[in-house]
Parts: sequence; C-alpha cells; structure tokens
Amino acid sequence: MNSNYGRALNIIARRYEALHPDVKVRISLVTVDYSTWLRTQFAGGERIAPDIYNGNYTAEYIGLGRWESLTDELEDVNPYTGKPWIESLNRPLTERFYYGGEAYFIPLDFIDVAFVYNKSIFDQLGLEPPRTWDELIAVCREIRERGHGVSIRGKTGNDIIPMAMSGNAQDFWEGPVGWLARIIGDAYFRSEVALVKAQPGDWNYEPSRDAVFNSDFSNPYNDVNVTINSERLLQAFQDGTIRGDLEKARAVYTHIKDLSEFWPPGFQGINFGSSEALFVRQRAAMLFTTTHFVTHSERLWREMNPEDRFEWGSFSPPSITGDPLCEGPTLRGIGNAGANYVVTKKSDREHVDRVIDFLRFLTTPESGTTLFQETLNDDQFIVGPIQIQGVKMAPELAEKYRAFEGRGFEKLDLRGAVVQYEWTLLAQDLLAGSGDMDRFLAEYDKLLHLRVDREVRRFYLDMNPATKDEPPATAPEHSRWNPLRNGVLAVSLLFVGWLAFSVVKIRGAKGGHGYQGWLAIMLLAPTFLLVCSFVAWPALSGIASAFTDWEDARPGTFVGLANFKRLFTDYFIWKGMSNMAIITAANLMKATVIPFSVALMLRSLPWPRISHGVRTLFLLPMVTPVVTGILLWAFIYDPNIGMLNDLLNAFGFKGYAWLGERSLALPSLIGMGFPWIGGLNLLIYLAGLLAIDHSVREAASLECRNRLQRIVYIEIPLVAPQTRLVIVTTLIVSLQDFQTMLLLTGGGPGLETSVPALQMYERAFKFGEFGYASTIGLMLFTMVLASTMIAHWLFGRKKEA
Amino acid sequence: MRTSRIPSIATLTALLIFAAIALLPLAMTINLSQKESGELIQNLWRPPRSLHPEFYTEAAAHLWSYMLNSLFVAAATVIGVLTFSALAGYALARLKFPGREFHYSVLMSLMFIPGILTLIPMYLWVK
Repeated sequence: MNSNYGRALNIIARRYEALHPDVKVRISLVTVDYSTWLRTQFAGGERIAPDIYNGNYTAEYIGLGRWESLTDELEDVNPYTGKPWIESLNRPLTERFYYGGEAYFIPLDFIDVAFVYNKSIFDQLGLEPPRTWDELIAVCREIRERGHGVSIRGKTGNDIIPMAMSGNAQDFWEGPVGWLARIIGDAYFRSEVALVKAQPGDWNYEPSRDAVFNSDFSNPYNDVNVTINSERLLQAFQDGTIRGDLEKARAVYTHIKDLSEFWPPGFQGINFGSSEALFVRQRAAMLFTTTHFVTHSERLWREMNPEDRFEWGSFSPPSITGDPLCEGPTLRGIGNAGANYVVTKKSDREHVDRVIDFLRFLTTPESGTTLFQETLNDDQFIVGPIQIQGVKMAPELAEKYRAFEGRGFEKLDLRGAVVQYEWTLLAQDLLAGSGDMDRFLAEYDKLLHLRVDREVRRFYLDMNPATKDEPPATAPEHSRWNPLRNGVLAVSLLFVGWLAFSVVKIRGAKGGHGYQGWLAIMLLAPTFLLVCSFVAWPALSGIASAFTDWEDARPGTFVGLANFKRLFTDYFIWKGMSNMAIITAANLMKATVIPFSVALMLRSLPWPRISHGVRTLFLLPMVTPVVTGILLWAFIYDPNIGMLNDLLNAFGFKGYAWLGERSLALPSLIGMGFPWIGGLNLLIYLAGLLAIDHSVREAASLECRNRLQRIVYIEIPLVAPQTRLVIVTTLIVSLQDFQTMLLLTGGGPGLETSVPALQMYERAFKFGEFGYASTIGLMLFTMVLASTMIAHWLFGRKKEA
Repeated sequence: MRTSRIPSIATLTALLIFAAIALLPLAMTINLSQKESGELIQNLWRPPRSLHPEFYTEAAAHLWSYMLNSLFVAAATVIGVLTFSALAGYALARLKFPGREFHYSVLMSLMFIPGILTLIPMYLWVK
C-alpha cells in the first residue's frame, strides 16, 4: 500500500481482525519505487505476491492475467452495508477501469489535475482565472511582462515566472507535461474513439456498453462506458488511420509548446516537488498540479512563516476554443485513483474470497471516514477526495477540489507506455532542445509504429480483434539437466570442475610442493564454492540471458545475436557511451590529480600532529553513505531551493538550472563532490609518498633546481604503483556507476547524462527487458576488462630508479 | 630539506579551506535536519528557528528495522569476509603451489563483472 494511508489502513485492519478472529491482515507500506517493488514481489512467486495492491503501477499485467475479475462481486451485496458493492463506490470512476468488460479495480480515491494560482499576484495585476486557452496564454504574457510590478512580501522588482513546471526524466512522462499531452490530445482525438472501440464480434464487445457511440462531445462523459479494443487501436496506427503527423497532432503539440514559453528556464531539470516549491515561495504565479495539493498545502501553510502565507485558488484546465480541429473544447480530466486496488489471482479460492471480503469492509462509510480522518491526523496528505460513498468532508475542502472534478475522463492516450523513453526524449527535444516541430511529428509517427511492434510482442497479440490474447499460462518446462536453468547443477559443475583442475595441477607437480598444494586446495575451496555460487554462476547466467529475448514475466527463447545487432544500432547506447567516456576521463583526473596534490601538501607540513588532524578532517566525509552524498548534491543543485543558487543569489548572481539545462547537466554531474578530495585515494597516495625513502629525497634535492622539478621527476614516478591502483579502481567503478546518474538526473535532459550502465538498469527494471539489459551488461564487462588490462600494461611493473 | 614557515602556513590555510568546503554539505545536512518542511523552503542557511530533537526519534522509529537489517548484513559480511579471505589470502600469499597465478587471476577477473549483470540472476537464484 502507498505509505500515506498506513495508519488508517492499520486501524481498519485491526477492526476487521476483531470481527474475524481467524484472519490476519498484513499491511505492507511501500516507500520505495512502487513498480520496481511490485516487479520483484511478483518475481518471487504466488506465495510472496501481495493479495491487494495498487494496480496503477502495473497496467501491463492485465494482459498477463494476474488480476481477479470483480465484475460479479461488484453486483453482489456488500455484507457490511447491505447494498450492492458497486454502490459503495463512485460508479463512473469505477467503470472507467473496466477492461474487456470486466472490472478489476476498486478506486478508493480520486486524482485529477487542475491549475492553482496565486490570488495575490492575480489581484495585483487585475487578472481573472482564465476560462479559455487563449485567455491562459494572455494571462501568462501579462504576468511575464508586468510581474516585476507586483509586490511580494512587501518587495517589488521580482522576476515572476508565469507557470511553474517540472520536466526532468522521471517526471516528464508521469508529471504535468505528460498530463497536458494527455488531456489536450484527448480533446482533439475524441472522434477517433468511435474508430477503435470494440465492434460486434470483438472479444471485449459488450452490447450494453458498446452498441451505440454517443458522439455528443459537449458531454464529457459521452464515452465513459465504451471499451477500446487495443488491437483496433494498434491497427489504426499501423495502417495510418491515426498518424503522428496529422494536423491534429500538430495542433496538440503546438499548444503545449506555446505554453512552454512561460515555464521556468531549465524546467527539464526540475522535479515535481521543486516546481511546487517555486509556487509556494511565490516565485511562480501558477502551478499545474493534482488534487494532492489541496491537503498538502494545508500542511505547508501551517509550517510557514505567517507573513509568507498567501491565498491560492484553483481553476480547471481552460477550454480550447476557436479551433475546428478540436472536437471537445473542454479539456477533460485524467481521472485516476491514487489508491486503485486490485486483487491478485491466486489458486486458493477461499483465500481470494477472504481478500475480497476485506476489500468490502474497507469500502464502507465508516472505514472510508477512518481512511480520510486518520490520514489527515497522521499529518499525511490525501491524494484526492475519497470515493467511498458516505464519507464526509469539510465544505472548504470540497470547494477547493471543485476545479479538479467533473470534467469527465480522457479516453485515448496516444503516447503509449511501451515507448515512454522515446516519447520523453522526443518531447523534451521539442520543448527545450531543437524545437523543430516537423521533425518531432515525423519521429512521433515512427514512434507509433514502434509502439505497435512492442505491444504486439509484449502482450502476445495476434492483431485479430475477435480473439482475446493471453500469454501461455505457465512457463515452458525446462529440462532439469540444463545447467543454464538449474542453478544448483551449474554451481556443482563449476565447483567440481575447479576441484578437478586444481587436483590435476597438484598431481603434476614435481618435488616437495605437493603437500602445500593439498593444503592450498583445502583453504581455497570454501571461497571458491561461494564464488561459484554467487559470482560465477549469476554472471554466466546473466551472460546467457544476453542471447535471449527474456522480457518481464515472459521467459526468453534463444535469439542468437539479435540483441547485439540492436545494441550496435541503438542511438541511446552510442550517446551514452560518449557521455561515459567524458565522465570516466573526468573521474580519472579527479581521482589522481587532486588527492595527489593534497597528499603532497599534507606531506610538506612540518607539524605531524596538525597534519594528522587535517588528514582526519578530509576523511570525515567518507563516513556518509555514497547515496546520501549524491542526494545531497541533487539538493545543492536544485534550481529553486538549492544551496548553490542560493549562494549565487546572495552575491547578486543569477541562479542556473544546473541539472536542467542541456549544456550544464553533464558538467554539473562531473562537478559533483567538489572539491573532489576522495578520502580513500588520498590515503593511498599518502602511503605511497611516505614510502619514498629519505635518501632518495636527499639525492633529489641536490640534483633538482626547485621543488616543482622534484615533484615531477621524482615523486610522481615513485608513486606509479599507487597511481595504477587508483586508475584501475576508478575505471572499474566509473564504467559501472549508474546510481549517480539515476539519483541526480535520471539520465538528464534528453540523453545528456545517460550512460550505458544506467540504460542497463532502466531496461531491466523499468521496462522489463532483461535479455537486452544483459547484453548491455556483457558489453560493459568486456569494456571493463579491456580497459583494466590496458591500464595494467601502461603502468606496468615499476623499475627501480 | 628545510621548509620555511610561511609557505607551510599558507599550505595549511589552503588545506583547511578545502576541508571546510568538503565538510560544508555535511554541516548543512545537520542544519537542515532540524527544520520543518515549510521552513526548509523559506530559510535555508540560517540556523533553524527552533530545535526539534523529536525529528531524530521519529526518523529512528521509521528506520530502526532497516537499521537492524543493515547491522545484520554488516555483521555477517564482516564475519564472512574475515573468515574466507583469511583462509584464501593465506593460501594465495604464503603457499607455493602450481596453479597459484591462475587462481589469483580468476578471483581478480570476477571483480570486473558489473554488479547489475548479476543482480537479477542472483535474485531469482536466492528466491
């Protein structure tokens, strides 16, 4: 469960257990990345997989048949309310999540999007919340031009950003820009819904829902009942009925581009929380946000200085008027649920019935009110109004939610989750890179075709709308004697092989070294057994995966060099490699030059105690975990609340979007960790310098004219072994490092800070393409091996002076 | 060799400045840890308005089970590393036997494998 409801859920769980003493309910709070957590839980098998979880994060699992269908259960009476279960919930919202005519989701709350605005700024400029898109652009322009006349906290002359926005790698798709693309796209493509909805004969055709298409576009709920047949949709992309370069698509993205003029510069480096901070600090006049802001702002306001508080209001996304291509001028909503629960299909029917019974208990008015109240009491925010009927809410809160509700729900998302990565890059380039609309639309069209390929592969589609396509229910049985699949067998083989090899070598020895050999084997055996189990075999298995097309829960088949072919033509990989080369070169500089210089300086101090003390100071930062350091630097670089910009502003300089600007992202990444005095490397160099014999120094001071010469000709060569060690370890770490990029920029604006290691991680854990990820891993392994061997050769054995 | 005192003092000052810069992020973390959310946005550098030692106890309450896990992992790792490395290290360093370089290079080369490559197989394997 999402962690904010934790306390309330635990209270409800205990109540349920009191009613049913033989049942235990366990609430697991997930505070890490939800979809990654889910993936790993499911990879663990049926026993471990959660019974109820938030289905938002695994839409593709429907195709894999993991959820219980709740359609019939919804029509039954809820024993705890005495009425049909579906009446405990918000009907249109629940029906929105029907797939193939079956219900899977129980939405507990409601998320939607709207704009919030700073009333004080608007009043001072004499502006009204806009009701049409053109008014919105006009308002933005007014704020940009006359903003410095506005008094904030008594001061004028502020540069006010009309609209705060976030657009970094993680938030671009899931965040405000993605929402805009969805709702504007939806407004333009409403008639296409008729083309791709289920027809008679389709597997998910339901006469009661799909027979008549209500084309009254002024009704935002006209198509809420209609089911879309995904194969028809893909067919439309394939045969060009829906194209990326239609005039409609151009209009959609032109609107977004127009609005982006008024977003903060470098918005592609800002995450959502930071853009919210912009608004709260009154540096931006508007913010495109979700229903969570309503309760979250209460908390923020409580903790702010009273003089910093301001009044805010909300307005719905304004209608697009005056464009004949736009079919439903109202921009509809996203209509999602934060806590959108599904029931995992498990083989124990009694267990599943109990699970559903608990869900029914959860959706009673009492539980709903508990959910709402206790979460607020626990100082957590609610993502949106609770959708369980009968929950009471304070009228002021209800008023604030109004702008977010009532606009219906978008139907067609033309972006495609399987091409999220590519779409993000394209759109980022359009909005802040080259800005080339024609190129964008052409590439976008290609993207739709790519989407077809991927979805067909992933969901085992046969492109026949009449058949329901499901993946094979169980994984094909692999031979128990196949070492690539049977881990224990593989490890035993490896270990026995090693033993045999060693024994043969010992036997072949001459002279009295024999017994030492047996002793050595005994001592080395435990280590090698562990090495075989936990290093060698996983590595071999990983390498073997590189030759398969293993994706998500779909076990791979041997495909030979197909992955490698893809690797060599993959634009992302090549860009990543060039970034990796730059970063590695910089890291090598940082790891050798600076610690060496500092070691020299320390060495030159004549006071041993002080020198020791200063050295300890430099070692102190080693105490913090690496990840903490990275997050700290992410905070320092934050364009709105970060330390670096704050410092620059204090001296009158302009702040920059360090991780947001395309040209600044990579240098900022390299600059992280300033002043780059790595404790470990410092120690290594110090040890090396200390080992330089005093006699050598005396001889040198006679021969060399000055200190600089001595450093260059004597000390640097004499620490060559240390340099070699530092270079080799830095190489190994640098080539594999991905957490820095992941935590700081997520790959950067576009591909600016992406490296192959990061792409390997994303392919595996975000997109589930394990086979391809293993291929990248194999490539990295060979590169590490090669560069280490080169480093060893270059800095070979040291010759005595 | 004799070093006059002035360059040494300059060196020491420079070193101290570097150390201060290196430690600044750490110091700021401590500073920021005592601030509430709203204050964080408004007031970055100055000391917190009021001290909140209960933040630490709250954080510890949320994290204590994770810390216990970490402790367990660290202890097991230390014991494991000491035991196995001592045995293997002695064998490789002190004993002369045929195949010694081979074993050494095998162990070394396994260090080069990107951790990620082994992550998923490891998970499935341990499961």
